[in-house]
Amino acid sequence: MSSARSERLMKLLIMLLVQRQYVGKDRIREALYPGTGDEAFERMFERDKDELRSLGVPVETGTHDAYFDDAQGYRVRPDAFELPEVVLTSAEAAVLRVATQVWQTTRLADATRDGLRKLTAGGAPVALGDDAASDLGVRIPLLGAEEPSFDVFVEAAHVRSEVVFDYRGTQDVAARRRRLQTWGVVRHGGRWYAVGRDPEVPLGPDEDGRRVFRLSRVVGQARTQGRRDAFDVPADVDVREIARRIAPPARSGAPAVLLVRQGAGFALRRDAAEVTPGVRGPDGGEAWDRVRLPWSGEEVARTVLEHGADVVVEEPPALRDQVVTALREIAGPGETPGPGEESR
Amino acid sequence: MSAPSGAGARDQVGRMLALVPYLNARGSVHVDEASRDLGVPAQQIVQDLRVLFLCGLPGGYPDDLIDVDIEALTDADGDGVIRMSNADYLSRPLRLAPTEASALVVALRVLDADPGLPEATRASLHSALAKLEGALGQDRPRIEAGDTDPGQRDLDELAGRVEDALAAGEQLRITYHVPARDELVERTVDPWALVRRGGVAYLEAWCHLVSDERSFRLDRVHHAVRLTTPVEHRRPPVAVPDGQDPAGEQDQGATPGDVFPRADETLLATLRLAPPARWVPDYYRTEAVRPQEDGTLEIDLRVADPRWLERLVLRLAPHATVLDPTSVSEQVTASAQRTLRLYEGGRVG
Repeated sequence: MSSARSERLMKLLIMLLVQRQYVGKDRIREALYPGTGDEAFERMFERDKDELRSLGVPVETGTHDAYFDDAQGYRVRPDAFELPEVVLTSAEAAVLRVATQVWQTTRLADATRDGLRKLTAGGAPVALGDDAASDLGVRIPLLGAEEPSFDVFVEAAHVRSEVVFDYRGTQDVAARRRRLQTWGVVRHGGRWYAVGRDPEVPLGPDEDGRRVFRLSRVVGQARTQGRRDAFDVPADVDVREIARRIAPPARSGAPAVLLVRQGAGFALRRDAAEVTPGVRGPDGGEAWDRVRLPWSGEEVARTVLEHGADVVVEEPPALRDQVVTALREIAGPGETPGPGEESR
Repeated sequence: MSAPSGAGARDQVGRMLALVPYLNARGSVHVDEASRDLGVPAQQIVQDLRVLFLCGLPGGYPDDLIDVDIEALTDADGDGVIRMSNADYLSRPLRLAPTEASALVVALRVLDADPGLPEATRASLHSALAKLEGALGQDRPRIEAGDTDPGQRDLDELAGRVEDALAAGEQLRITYHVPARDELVERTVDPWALVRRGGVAYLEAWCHLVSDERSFRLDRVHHAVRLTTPVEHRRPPVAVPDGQDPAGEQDQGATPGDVFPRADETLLATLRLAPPARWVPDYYRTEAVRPQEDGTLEIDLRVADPRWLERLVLRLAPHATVLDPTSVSEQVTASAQRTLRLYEGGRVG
């Protein structure tokens, strides 16, 4: 029955927590696993330790006996176990309470509540069970993940276990078995990606095995394999930074000045800082507007190209050159003026 | 409890590790108050206390056990007050597990990204976040929800307005952009639902302009105004077969807000993609993907509107080529030449 198991886990924790020194395996076995055979004890004890660790209990292994260094013992240091003091005002507690409603995936919604329950237990005035307290007049943004493997990767990133999964990349005809030491899970454009290292890639001067997998391309069920704390995340890895690299900011670069045909270019007009209607266009006609954008990054270049003869770049020169170069490459050797000289 | 092992025991221990320090700090507390503070049903708390009652210091003497007055909670004339003693060694809760810390911090950051957050609330949020991060110390969160860009915030704000209209049963006037035709059309709609497919939000509604049901991509709604008029058309009880996007992939952009094309009305196109354009099959539903030896990809995709394909290829220029149909590839070339003439003319003029 589960309550017998809870009882044993609790007793084990208390035993390891109150002792100043490592507690020997034999003593633990005598006190909490009486009457078990060698094999059964080992199995139960391993599972119990794992269970406590999965709750976040820092179970340390070591030895206190200088003469018998094979006598392995266990302990939980109170300073590593205990939540540091966090004194929260009731306003801060109210915001934290609202935070419990953001996550839409079960695992992280539970994790948020469990974390907050610990703060409440430590004295924070949170009132987790009081639904009336949740209304701060705040529109709560919802953070979800449709990808079934999301929780597996998130958990693996936190306990640092390896994940095994089948993945069908853009260029794969069929799904392929992959492994990943997950450093983090990042969102971009409404999709989640796992970032980490492929342990099968040997490290080299130009290769660090860094990989990004789109979770919606994981086929079937991902699972963790092997032990916890199986790898270290390199100190210089910042998942926020990697997220930014996956998603180079669309809105960068010098301000852009565009000529946009009237009745067209709505995607660009939407972001305009200023629109001057009825200006002379590149065809000599007046049915054009001058549209100023606060930026001119890659996304602007792509959007301008998409609009074909409805949009012409005036500024900045880099954007103009990028667009003209791309158009020349696809226009072919037709009857257009040759590249370069005579137009400059 | 029915759970034979595993999760049941683990969860119970997790709850007990919060319950004990909570009670230690308060001396005695009514079970209903504990339930409200900890967000755990009262009955569950009593069950947890029954197990705690059996736990204590190793040694097994009665004095070693955690003392709980169970009768006060279970007897008909009990006062429902939890009194616990002899558990001083659990005076502090367990520190936050890394997943818990990440979940909380990321949720707060997402809340913080809302520009509509009242300033006082934002100040509390920032100070709570600073205190949390101080207590959690060492580890950066392993989850990153991404910076909410201004466009996303506009979208959230728009979604809020749509939800309000849905709740009130009122019509909306929307200005809807169809990129394939580059047209912006004002429509009055009866909103039915706000749904998300493949990370994209859609407004499903009755459209008065075409007198039919339509699905509108929210990021193409440039403006939305709530009308005080109540909706006229309700969604029919049978689900609308939308024939679109079963794989959760992004749609082609041409279709929502238009008629969903039947398969026989679409065009099967073949493109060649150079490496910088290899992301295309990630975003658009493709019929086939054929990696080539030179590192390019050949893909087949169904296209509802050739104008959409022309725009896509221009957008990807010069990294995509239409192999078939040739009519589209000729259009693309002609459009590029026409555009170039405007640049050359502009220089001269």
